[in-house]
Amino acid sequence: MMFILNYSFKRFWRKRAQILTTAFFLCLGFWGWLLSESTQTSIKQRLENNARKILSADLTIDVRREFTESELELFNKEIAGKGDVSQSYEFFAMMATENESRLVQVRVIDDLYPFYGEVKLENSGSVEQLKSPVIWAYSEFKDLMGLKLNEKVQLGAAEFTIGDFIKEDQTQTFRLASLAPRIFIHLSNLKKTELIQFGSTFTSIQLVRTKPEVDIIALSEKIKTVLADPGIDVTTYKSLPDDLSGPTQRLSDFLGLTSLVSLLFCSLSLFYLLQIWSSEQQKEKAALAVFGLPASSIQMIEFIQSVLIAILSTALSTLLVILSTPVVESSIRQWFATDFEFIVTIKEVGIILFCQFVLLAVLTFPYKRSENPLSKLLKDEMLSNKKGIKFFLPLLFLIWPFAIFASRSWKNGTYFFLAILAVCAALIFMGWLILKIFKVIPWKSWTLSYATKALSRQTTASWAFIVTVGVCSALLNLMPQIQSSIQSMMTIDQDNTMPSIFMFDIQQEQYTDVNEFLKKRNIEPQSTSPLIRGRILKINNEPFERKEKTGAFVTREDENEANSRNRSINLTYRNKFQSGDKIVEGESFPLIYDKSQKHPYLSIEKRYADRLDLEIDDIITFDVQGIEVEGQVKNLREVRWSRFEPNFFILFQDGVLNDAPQTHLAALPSLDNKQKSELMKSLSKEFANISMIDVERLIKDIVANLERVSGALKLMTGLSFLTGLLALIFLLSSESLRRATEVHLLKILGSQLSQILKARISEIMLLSSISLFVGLGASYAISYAIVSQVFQVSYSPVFSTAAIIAVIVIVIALLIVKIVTASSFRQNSFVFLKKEE
Amino acid sequence: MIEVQNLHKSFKTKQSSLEILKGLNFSIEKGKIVAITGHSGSGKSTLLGLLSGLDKPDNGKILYNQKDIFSMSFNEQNLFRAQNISLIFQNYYLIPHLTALENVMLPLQILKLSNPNEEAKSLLNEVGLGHRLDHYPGELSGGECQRVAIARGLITKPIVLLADEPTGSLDSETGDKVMSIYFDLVRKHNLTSIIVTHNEELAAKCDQELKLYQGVIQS
Repeated sequence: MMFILNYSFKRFWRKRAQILTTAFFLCLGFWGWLLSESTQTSIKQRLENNARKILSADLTIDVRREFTESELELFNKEIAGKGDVSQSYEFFAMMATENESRLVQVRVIDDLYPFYGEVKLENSGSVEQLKSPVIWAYSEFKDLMGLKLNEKVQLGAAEFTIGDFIKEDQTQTFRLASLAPRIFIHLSNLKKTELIQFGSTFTSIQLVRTKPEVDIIALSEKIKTVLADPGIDVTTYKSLPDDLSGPTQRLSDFLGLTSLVSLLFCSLSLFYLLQIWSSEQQKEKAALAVFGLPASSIQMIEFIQSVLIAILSTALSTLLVILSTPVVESSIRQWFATDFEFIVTIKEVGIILFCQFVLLAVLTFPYKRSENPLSKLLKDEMLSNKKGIKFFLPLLFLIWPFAIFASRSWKNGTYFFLAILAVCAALIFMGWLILKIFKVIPWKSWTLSYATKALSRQTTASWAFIVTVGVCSALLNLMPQIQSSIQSMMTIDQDNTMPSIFMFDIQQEQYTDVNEFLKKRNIEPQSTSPLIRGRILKINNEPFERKEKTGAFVTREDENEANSRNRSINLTYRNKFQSGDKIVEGESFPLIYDKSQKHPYLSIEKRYADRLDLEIDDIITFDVQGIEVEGQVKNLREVRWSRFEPNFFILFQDGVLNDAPQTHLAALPSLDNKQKSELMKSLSKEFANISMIDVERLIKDIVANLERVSGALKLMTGLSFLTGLLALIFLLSSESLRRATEVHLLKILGSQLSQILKARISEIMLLSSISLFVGLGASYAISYAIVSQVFQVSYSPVFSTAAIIAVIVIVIALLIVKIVTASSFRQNSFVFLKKEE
Repeated sequence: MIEVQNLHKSFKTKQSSLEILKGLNFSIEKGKIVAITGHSGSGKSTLLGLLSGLDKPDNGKILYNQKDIFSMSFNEQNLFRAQNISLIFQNYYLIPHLTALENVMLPLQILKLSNPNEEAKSLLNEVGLGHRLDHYPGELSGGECQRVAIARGLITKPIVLLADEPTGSLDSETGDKVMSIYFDLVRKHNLTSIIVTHNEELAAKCDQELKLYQGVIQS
């Protein structure tokens, strides 16, 4: 054992240059991985904090009625000892001043509200103040109703005083249902309003702040099981969909992919590096075997080497993280305006150490052979076709678990692995085909003949080059394609001015008058949409209910799907698609209903359709105010929500729902504060029931977030691009260095540098062309699949990146071949060859 | 034919400069086979490197038919070596992806000389490998590889053949066979040859032996 340890440490020290190169690539790959992981964690933290603020709790249950005694008993039993519970209600009611009355969204809160987030008041006040009894109202009411501080208002049967105005409500989101101007009252005053009675429409909510150690998912699952009524919604901060989570979640997924790609670049470099050393190591192992060292001891030396390299590169990765922490932290804090700490804990160090060891072990161990060690010691190793495809197996099967690990999805990871496998197969097939063709060409020039022979007879080396450079090119081009597609969904159209005000509850009979009213003030609504409340009853005659599962939800999508099945939905009809709509599946259809149609046609938002497993030609039965209405899914549409137009998941043809009870929603263009104030005042005088809300601040927040996400996407793409380039430069120079002996030999045999360069450049150009052609082509196919299946956005390929990558690869390849070959040529060949002996 | 005049060569180490060759002077007549022997580190291989023109001396001259190879430009020297000097190594240094025939043809192809195929076949027949023309180095034994290397060395019809420990990687029986073929061919083609070797038996078979000791030739 002492000999093994002694020998291992000696070898580690004497091969320090090679080991440092290995450690460098491991370190680079894992630093990228650690950076992506930390950023992902930070984003997840931010999303969760945001969700907590919107939810005002860790977990809520809500139902469109009062909870029964037994339900509350069961719920409280589950919560007992796990956290605090706050009670709340939400409903719409008329609020009246002396002069006018208006429909408002009422939020009833108790002393504990909110557990998270903040309701910022113009004058500082506490929930205690609400008991007086007072109301806190959104500041929009100052213009809408001319409300003043301390003014008396009537809400149901009770009289309240305006105690304060709300300048910012962190529980507000961009979802239509939560956009209405709100008022807050205290729970102790609810009863005297007499607004919640039998037959009233309201939502009862129980909010829970759990203790930190509570497993929120397990708790929510338990509550779902205990409270069996599918009408009860159980929401946790982990499952809450919010308007910011879409792009930010995509960024998080993108970072997962970036970390996977960084690891792949690192693995490819390592793989190539270790294969180049393989011959040397095999000889060393053969020598040890010849001197009588048992196979187990040789494996132990290998094991110790892998552990030592893993420790060294883990130390380097950790050091790099510590050194880069100030820059990374400040950048991420700046982008996400959130607390972010780039901390490497023992856990992360342990994971990196383990992964690096596994990576080294998988890449090194399969090359132990039980061949006659003496023959290995005496013979020159040639990268022949003997090893064939076995050469690549360790790397390929390493990608699979890494892909699953980085994507946190068995399905996505496997698809990614299969895609890489397909790219490798395509690269090898194309390489094989082209080399076959080149082989039969009777080259007149010896340099071309030599180059063709070198490639077609050292197939393993050729495949290694084609596969590594091809996969590198594919990965290099992959991230910009995905980034461009995600970003195109987030780009705010320059010609599309943001809406500044949303108008709600425009009654059908007021529609023309409101338009006239706006026209007089030279205000053209950006869009108006009828809004009809409905519920899905059946899909293809199957009842549509919450899908109960025995265990926890497997994926975020499952959770979302279950949630969406419970909600009632807003329906609309239109006679033309909006400019931001794009049909991505199915066919376009006239948006005017023709009575000869068997069913009215429906256009469904793509992601919503995916969540509910809706397919083209499915028949959906809706309950629209008690009447059953059927519709046939004719197309799936992608909505450019970044246009901030009111849009709907389900769109009917014009002529189907026109007679259903409905209100209209209008989005008004940007107005200055004076215009806004005048409009609110005069509108409230003429149309007392119509509500308005200022969405400018909310949109500004979302746009700022989008810009931060875009910046982060660009930066991560750039970083992965740089890592890839570094890997590529390394691969190309390693390949050129591997051929140095040949350069010296050809020189001794009388070749001029120009002849050797011609042969080497022919080889590299042929291999690079195959790699680039297949790799870049495949990157478009893979990015299309990822963009449409994982990110679920429209595919916007960028072809200039492929051209840039092709030029970069070719230029780098030529430069490296030229520099390395010329420098080898100028070296003392005799000394070089003697050293090789 | 070959004249070595006042040849000095030293290597710099971390601490000091190590003088390997200390002013060598000798000459070799055309058609002679000369062995250079000596202990490890005596400067045998360094001398061979200088004789091939692949290394440069600190001082001194090497004249081939009165031409100083170190006064030539890099390209002239390369061409001169390709046409006039052939090297044979202990490790053969065959190109692994070329067959035996292609390895032997290669120098003629590089120099754009005629009939590479026929010339190479004829030489491979001479070294007894007529039946192994299409075999790759990996498929040949050590002795066979060295015979291919000898054929490759002879194909350009050089004026001098330099061999660095040609039997170093072979067992004694194979080594004897290979060297027997070597001597026959060198004599048949009337070449001058310099063999660096530790092998006293081999040195004894040569026409002349130069013993290197501490950088000088022992008389």
